[in-house]
Amino acid sequence: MKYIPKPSATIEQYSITLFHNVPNITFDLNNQAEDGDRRPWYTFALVNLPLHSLSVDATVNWHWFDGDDVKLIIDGQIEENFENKRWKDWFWHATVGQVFSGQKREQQSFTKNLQKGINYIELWADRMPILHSVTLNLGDFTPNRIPSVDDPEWTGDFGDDTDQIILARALFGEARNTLVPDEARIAIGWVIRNRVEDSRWPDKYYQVITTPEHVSSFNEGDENRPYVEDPLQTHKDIDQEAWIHTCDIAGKIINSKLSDPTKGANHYYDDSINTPGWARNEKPIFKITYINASQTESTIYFYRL
Amino acid sequence: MRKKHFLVACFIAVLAGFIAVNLLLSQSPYIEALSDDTIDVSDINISDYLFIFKGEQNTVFFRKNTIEKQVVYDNKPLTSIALSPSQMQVGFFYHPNDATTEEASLVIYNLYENTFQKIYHTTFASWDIRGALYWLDDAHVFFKRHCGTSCHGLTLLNIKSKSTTHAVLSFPPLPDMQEKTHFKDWFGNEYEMEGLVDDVRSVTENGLHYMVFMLKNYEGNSVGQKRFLFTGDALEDVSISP
Repeated sequence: MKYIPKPSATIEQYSITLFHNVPNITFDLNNQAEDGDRRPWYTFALVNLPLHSLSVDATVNWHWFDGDDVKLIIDGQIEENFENKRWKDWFWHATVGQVFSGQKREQQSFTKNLQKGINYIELWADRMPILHSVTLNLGDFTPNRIPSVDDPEWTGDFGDDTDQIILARALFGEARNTLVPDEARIAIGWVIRNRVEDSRWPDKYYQVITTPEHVSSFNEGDENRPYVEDPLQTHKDIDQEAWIHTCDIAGKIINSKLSDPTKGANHYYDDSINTPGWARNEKPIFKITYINASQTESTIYFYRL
Repeated sequence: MRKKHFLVACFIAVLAGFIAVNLLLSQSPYIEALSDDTIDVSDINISDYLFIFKGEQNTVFFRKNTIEKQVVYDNKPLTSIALSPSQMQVGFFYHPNDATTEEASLVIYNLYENTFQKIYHTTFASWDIRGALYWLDDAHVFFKRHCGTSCHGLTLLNIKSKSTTHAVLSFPPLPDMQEKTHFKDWFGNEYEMEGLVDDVRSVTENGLHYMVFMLKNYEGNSVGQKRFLFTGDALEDVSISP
């Protein structure tokens, strides 16, 4: 998750909460909006999750000449209030009559059956409504296990990996042999990070890494594919040590604790074979020489295309 | 005295039995498992080679009728196997060192002379061997090797001279570029193919040996194949244009 300040906003506070009661997730908010006109209030972003239904519990009141209203937008579509044309975009709305009857609290449910993906639920406020709770029902969804350093076997979907684990898989698949110097491992890791930060590639590590034919150890049929699916599948000490070391490097690349030795490379090849077509008219911006299995010098060339 | 002799004999018999049982139990469980579930590559008849298939996790299995066994050499699992076009030789990869899968050897098994010859060895298997083994003719095998990003290496190995040569397949380096594969072969010739090379195989038809590139698009759908005739010292493009 990234916050991008524009021009100089500061994140005052954030918190992370683990929900155990999936598929029903309830946010007990009990928060009254500060007074103001029609503006975004709460946004719920479901990442890689489905949404079967949701319910929203809100209170609206009337204040002299204007009342509180709450608008619900799901994936860009306003939930319309068909009972009142004047407030059709505001599902919860106060009326003049509430001068006498007082505040009105309503819990409304919506069945959406949205597919697994990125789904946005937005709540807008007009004046000062109170949002008591939002409950999201994910339906039959069962969250996949999240692979870890100690238990890295893939779930069947590399999208379930953290950035560190998918980058570590790529480095393990491409460069786990002890003949490869750490400098090369770090440089190859940065090639992938540089792509994630380049608008020409997708902005997720797993999408960059699994782009067809880009990182060959992820290709079906590649001899290294079993090693990226489960780095510990051989149960050999040498692989376990290499995996833990690779995870450490991957984490440090993502957290910028290791700087980019390539200065922006997004491609590489090993000169034990002919120059690939894409490198022919390009100049390498970085290179690493190592002693290969034949006890001769090999060079890995890095390019920025 | 007789009773004493009898007791001594009984003691020796029990002791011998105890030692025998312990010797049996002291065998490595891995070897025990191998002996039950495996078959040595030399114990497979030529006519049964069609019952060999590649399993998951770089393994090779033999399945005939209700029998399924993992194929091994020197009690070590094979990772790839291929029968030569003349069906006189079998080539296979295996990991000779139990401590690491980075060591790999290519062995040629002559079925008629019943001889094994190690013709290639590496301690960097994760780069040097990245795909299954294929024969091009009875003197050459090839397999994929590491290259880098958006490329594959292809190693041609002459089994007589044990010399290797490398070719390279290059893919579009940026996403959404046109689906093309550039191929620079072992003899310095270059080709461009429409589509992304998904797999490389070999096939022998009417005594001629072909290298076959299976092509796909970004969605993974087949877009045809490209064939090259292998003559021993050259590849000739023999694909029929659509």
